[in-house]
Amino acid sequence: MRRSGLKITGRVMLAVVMGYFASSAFLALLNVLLVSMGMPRAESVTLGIMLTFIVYLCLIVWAFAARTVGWPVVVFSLLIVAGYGLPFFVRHGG
Amino acid sequence: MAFLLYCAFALVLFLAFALLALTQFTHRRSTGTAELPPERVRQARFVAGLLLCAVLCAAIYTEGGGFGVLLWAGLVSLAACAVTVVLGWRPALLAPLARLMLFSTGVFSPTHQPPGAGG
Amino acid sequence: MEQGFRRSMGWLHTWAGVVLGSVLFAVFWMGTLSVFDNEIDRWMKPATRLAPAPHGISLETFRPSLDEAIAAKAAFWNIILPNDRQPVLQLRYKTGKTFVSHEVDPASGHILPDSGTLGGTEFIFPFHYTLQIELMDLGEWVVGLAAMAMLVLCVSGVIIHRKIFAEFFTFRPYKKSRRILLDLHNVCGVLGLPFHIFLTFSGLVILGATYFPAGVTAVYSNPRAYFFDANNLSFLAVKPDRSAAPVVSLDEAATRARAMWGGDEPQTVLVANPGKASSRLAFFRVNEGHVLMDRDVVAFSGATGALISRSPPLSPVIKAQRFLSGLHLIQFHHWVLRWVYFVLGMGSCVMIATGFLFWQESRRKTQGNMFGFRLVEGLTSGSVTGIILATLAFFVSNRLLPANAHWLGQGRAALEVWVFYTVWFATFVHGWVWPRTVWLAQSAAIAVFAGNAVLLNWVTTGDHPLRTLSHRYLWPVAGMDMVLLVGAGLALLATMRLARRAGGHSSAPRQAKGGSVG
Repeated sequence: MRRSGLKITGRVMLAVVMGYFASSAFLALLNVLLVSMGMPRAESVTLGIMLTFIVYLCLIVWAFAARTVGWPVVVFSLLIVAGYGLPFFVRHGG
Repeated sequence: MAFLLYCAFALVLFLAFALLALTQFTHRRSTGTAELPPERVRQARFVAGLLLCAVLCAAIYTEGGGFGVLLWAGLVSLAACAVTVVLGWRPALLAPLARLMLFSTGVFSPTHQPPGAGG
Repeated sequence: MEQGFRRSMGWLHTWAGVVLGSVLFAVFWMGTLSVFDNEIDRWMKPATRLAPAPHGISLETFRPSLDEAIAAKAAFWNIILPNDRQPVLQLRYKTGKTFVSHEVDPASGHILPDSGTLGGTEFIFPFHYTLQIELMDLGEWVVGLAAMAMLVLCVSGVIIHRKIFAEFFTFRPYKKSRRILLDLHNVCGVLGLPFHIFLTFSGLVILGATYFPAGVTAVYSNPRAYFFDANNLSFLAVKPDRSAAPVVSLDEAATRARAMWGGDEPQTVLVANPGKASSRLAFFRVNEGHVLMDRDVVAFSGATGALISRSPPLSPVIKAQRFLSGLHLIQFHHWVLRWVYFVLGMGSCVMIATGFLFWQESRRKTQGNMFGFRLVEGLTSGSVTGIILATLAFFVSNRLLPANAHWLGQGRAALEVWVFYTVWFATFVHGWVWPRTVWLAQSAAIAVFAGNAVLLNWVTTGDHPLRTLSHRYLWPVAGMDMVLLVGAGLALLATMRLARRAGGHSSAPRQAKGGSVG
C-alpha cells in the first residue's frame, strides 16, 4: 500500500499529537466530573490516569484504522475543546 | 522447600501446555503420532484448562493473592516457551505423552462409561 | 473492511517498530537489568559486599550526619535502612541542587569510601525511564512515546497475527533464517504478551501525572499537589517556619512508629527541613512481603515529636494503582519471581531484536542498497548488540579504572558513563561502515567483554565464582558472574554459527542469533 508522505505525516500527527491532547482533555473532563460527583481528588486523578492511557491507545489505533480521517478529527477536536475549555469554568467552583 | 514447590508448579504448567499443543495437528505430526478424535481433543483441552486453574489456585493459596497471580502468569509464559522449544528441537521427547493421550481413548470414551470417567 | 483494517495495522506495526524499536530495546534492556539493580551495585561496588549486619541499629548513631545536614541548610535528610538485597545503609541529604550521599557499613557505623560509580541503581535504572537525557525531561517523554508505541505494537501485533492459536507453539529452527526470526518474534511476542502489556502499562501509569499534567491540573493546582495527596505526603506541604529547633530523638519516634505498625520495621527515615521549627520526621514502612506498595507513612513534627499524620487505609482505586506500580518496581523480596521477571524481560528484548531483524531480512533483496535501509541496518546493530556491548564496557571499565581516576575534569563515575557512550557510539559507526560483518564482530566482542568482566572481577577483588557461590552474602556477585558467563557462552555460540554461515555461503542472509544474547 503506497501512501504519500503528506498523508502519512497527517495520520501520525493526528494519532500521536491530537490523540495526546484529546486523551489529556478526556482526563481533565473525567476528573472534573468525578470530583463534582464527590469522589476524592486523588482517587479520581489516579483512576483517570489509568483509564487515559487506554483511551489514548484506542484513539491511536482508531486514527490509523479509520478509512478517512474525518470522524477522528471531529471527535478529537470536540474532546480537546471541551476538555481544555471546561476546567476554566469549573476549576474555581469545584 | 519453596523452590521445589515452584518447580512443581512449572512442571504441571508444562504438562498443561504440552497437552494443549499435542491436540494440534502439526505437533502431533512432529511427534509422529496419529491424530486425536475430536472428543479426545476436547477432553485434553479441558484437562489442560483444569491444570492451569489448579496451579493458579495453588499459587494464590501458598503465595498470597499478589505474588500468586504474578508467579502464575510468569510461569505460564515460561512453561509455554519451554513446550515450544521442546517441540521445535526435540519433539520426540513429547511422543510418549502424545501416545498416552491416544491410548487412553478407549478408557475414557463415552461409549464405555466406566465409573469415575468424569475427568 | 476486515482486510483494510488488518493492512493498516500491519503498516502501523511495521513502522512503529522500525522507528521506535531502538528506544524500546534500550528501555527493555535497561529495565531487565534493573530487575537486579542492587545486585549490579554489589558487583560494581566491591566495598559494599558486606555480610548482613545484626538488626537493631540505633538511629541516633547517625545524628552527626543529621547535624551536618542542618549546618548545610539541607532541604531534607534521610536514612535508607539495609535489607536483604542492600547490605549497606544509605545516608543522603540535599542542599540546593546537590545531593550528598554516603554508604555506611551498618555493622561498624563507619562511612564507606566513595565507590566512584553510579552502578545499577543510579545509571542503569534511571536510564531505563529517562535514557539519561535530562534536557527538559526529554528522555522521559521519549520513553513515554516509545511505551505508547509498545502498547500499539502489542495490539496491532495480535491483530495482524493470523494464526495466533494455530501457531501458538510453533518454532521451526530447521527453516530458513527469515522464518526462524519470525517464529522467534511471534513466540516471544505471544507467549510473553501479558508481561509486555502489563509492564508497559504499569510503567506508563507510574509516570502518568508527568505525561498528562493538564488532566491533573484540572482539579489540582499543580501535579506536585496530586503527588503529595496520592502518596499521603501532604505533611510535607507545610508553611516554613525558619526559627531553629533541634530534631527530637529519632529512636524514640521510630519506636512509636513501630508500635503503630504492629511491630513492622521502617525502611526509610526522612527528616524534611531539618533543624527548623517546621521540620517533619517521617517513617516509611518496609514493604517486602507484598506486591502492593503500601508504605503506611507515619509523620511526626521534627521539633516536638507530636504525631502529624498517618496514611489512611487505601481505597480500591489507589490500591489498584499501587499494585500496578508494585508489580513494575519489584521492591518486594521474592527471588524466584525476580528471576522470572529477568527471563521474561530478556524475552521482550529478543522479541524487539528479532522484529527489527525480520524487517531487515525481508527487505535485503529488494532495498539492500537504499539509503533508508542502510540507515536502519546500522541502527539495528548499534541498538541491539551495541547497547549490550556498551553495558558490558561499562562493567569492564568499572573494574579497570583506578579508584581515584580523574581525566579531563571528569570523576571516576562520569568516566565510566563516558566509556558507555563512547562504545555505544562506536558500535553504530561500526554498523554503518562494515555492515557485512557487524553481527559477527559484535557478538564476538560481547563474548570477549562478558568473559573478561568475570575475570576482572576475580582479579581485582579476589571474589572468584567458587568463593562467591559458597558465601550467601556474595550470591548477588555470583549471580551476576553467572549471567555474564551464560551471556558470554551464548554470544560465543552465536559467533560460531555466524562464522560458519559466512564461511559456508557468503551470499546467505545473516543469521540473527546475536539478538538472543543475554
